Amino acid sequence: MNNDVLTIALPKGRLGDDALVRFRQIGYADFVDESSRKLIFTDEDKKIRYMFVKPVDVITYVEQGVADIGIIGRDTILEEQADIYELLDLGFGKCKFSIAGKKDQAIYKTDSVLKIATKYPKITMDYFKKKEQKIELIKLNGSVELAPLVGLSDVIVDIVETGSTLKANGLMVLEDMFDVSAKLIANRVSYRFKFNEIMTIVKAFEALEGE
Amino acid sequence: MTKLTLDDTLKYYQKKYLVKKRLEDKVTSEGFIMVEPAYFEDYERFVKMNKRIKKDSMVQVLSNDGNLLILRPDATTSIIKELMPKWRNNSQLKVFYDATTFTKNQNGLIEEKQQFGTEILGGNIEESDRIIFNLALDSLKTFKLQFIIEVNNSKFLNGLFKALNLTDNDEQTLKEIIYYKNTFELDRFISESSFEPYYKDLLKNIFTLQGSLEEIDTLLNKYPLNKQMIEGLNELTALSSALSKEDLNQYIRFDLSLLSKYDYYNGLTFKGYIQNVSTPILNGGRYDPLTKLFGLNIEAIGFSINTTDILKEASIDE
Repeated sequence: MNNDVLTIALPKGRLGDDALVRFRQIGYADFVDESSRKLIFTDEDKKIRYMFVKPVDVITYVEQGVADIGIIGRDTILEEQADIYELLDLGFGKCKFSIAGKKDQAIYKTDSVLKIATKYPKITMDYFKKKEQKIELIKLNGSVELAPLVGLSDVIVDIVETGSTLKANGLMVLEDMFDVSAKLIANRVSYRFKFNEIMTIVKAFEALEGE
Repeated sequence: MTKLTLDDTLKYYQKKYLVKKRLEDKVTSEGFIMVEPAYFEDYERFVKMNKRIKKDSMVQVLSNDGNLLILRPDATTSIIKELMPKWRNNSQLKVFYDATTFTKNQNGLIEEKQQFGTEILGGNIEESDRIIFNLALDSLKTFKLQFIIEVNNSKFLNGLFKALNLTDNDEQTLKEIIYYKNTFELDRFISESSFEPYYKDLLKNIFTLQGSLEEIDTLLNKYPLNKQMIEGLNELTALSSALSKEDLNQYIRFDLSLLSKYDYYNGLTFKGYIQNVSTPILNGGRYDPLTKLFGLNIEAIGFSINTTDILKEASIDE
């Protein structure tokens, strides 16, 4: 934690690009060049530093206090279960957590164990524990849609935005779990020491939402 | 290859000793007596006492008779467990400890933290609130670090929960929401509820109820408060009036939405932070309900300081 500068962790990729658009709308980050390979940009006037990190690492940087605040999808928050503040829903990056599989695949099977492939073991486990369905988890790191096609799993749990990847692979949403969207998170200690700086940004985003 | 030298190691231990000694001198001069909390806790009982604690954050051990134990994640539970069965009516105890606590982090790795803490059991609430809080404040001051202490009285939130007439399940959900200061989920929770409009409004603004007590009072003016909520606020006012203006301005932030991970607090609660350390350096509060589990109703308050982190940040002049 740098004491004079407010550090913001942004996820590389589309969510981060969307976040930058919002930051620019409230008059921040105008000089940040996301097309360059630089990972850190410092705004000396406003005393703000922007860091670009891998999406899942945003949580780590914020929880450890290296970044004071960050922007990240709710999916990552739920999966990492970090001790942070979830200050604001930013209203973009909206998508759904869904269970998907082949057309006639049953999800709830009292007599047997459901095999699930996912990138999100924690979320999946919590969800099915509540539903009291026995499951076997298969953790994958990408191309989850392949799993039911080749018989690796019965269903998948993943984020669905448009559903086109599912459709292209002959899969469909069997059940929607919950919605996710981008959140503004804050480190608990930074929230105290940089309360005014953080709330200025929170209020600006809120005003933007209200328009 | 550069390696840590013997001198470096000894220097570290010397510093560690000085941190501990400084705190010890302070509390012994106030009449506190040292106790040694037990290393092991019964898992079932601990979970019962601390409903919201994450079960995978505890270091579990199997005893040779097949009981599930945990290595102490805090010292207070152990101390209460030892002292309550021997309690004499109308006594007052002032104790302190210096103990290692054990928790597991997200990656399943065991984290050891050295905690120095004090407890006052029995006696006048207002007086012991003041003694403990001042001691906590003074302790942090001795290390000449920049720090902030968040202060709340859990009677306020508990009073609000009672007024809202929540089911156990909803209360846990709402506590979770407040713990993470999650405005989005809070809005959803409120919109799905059938609370009185003024309670909906109060709940909606719960995260803004912070700063100085005067600021909070102004914001609370328009709401009808129940007895428990008022009691909480009065206790905060009593504490605040015993503190100097400088201390209040420089170190103290009241925050009515401050909620601990532990469920057993029922009055004054506080957390201290220093810069560069991402977890609270100081945790404290009143936890009378913990004594109820032993069939008693004793006034109990205490705080603990994480000296491992103090050691990292403080420079100690010998």
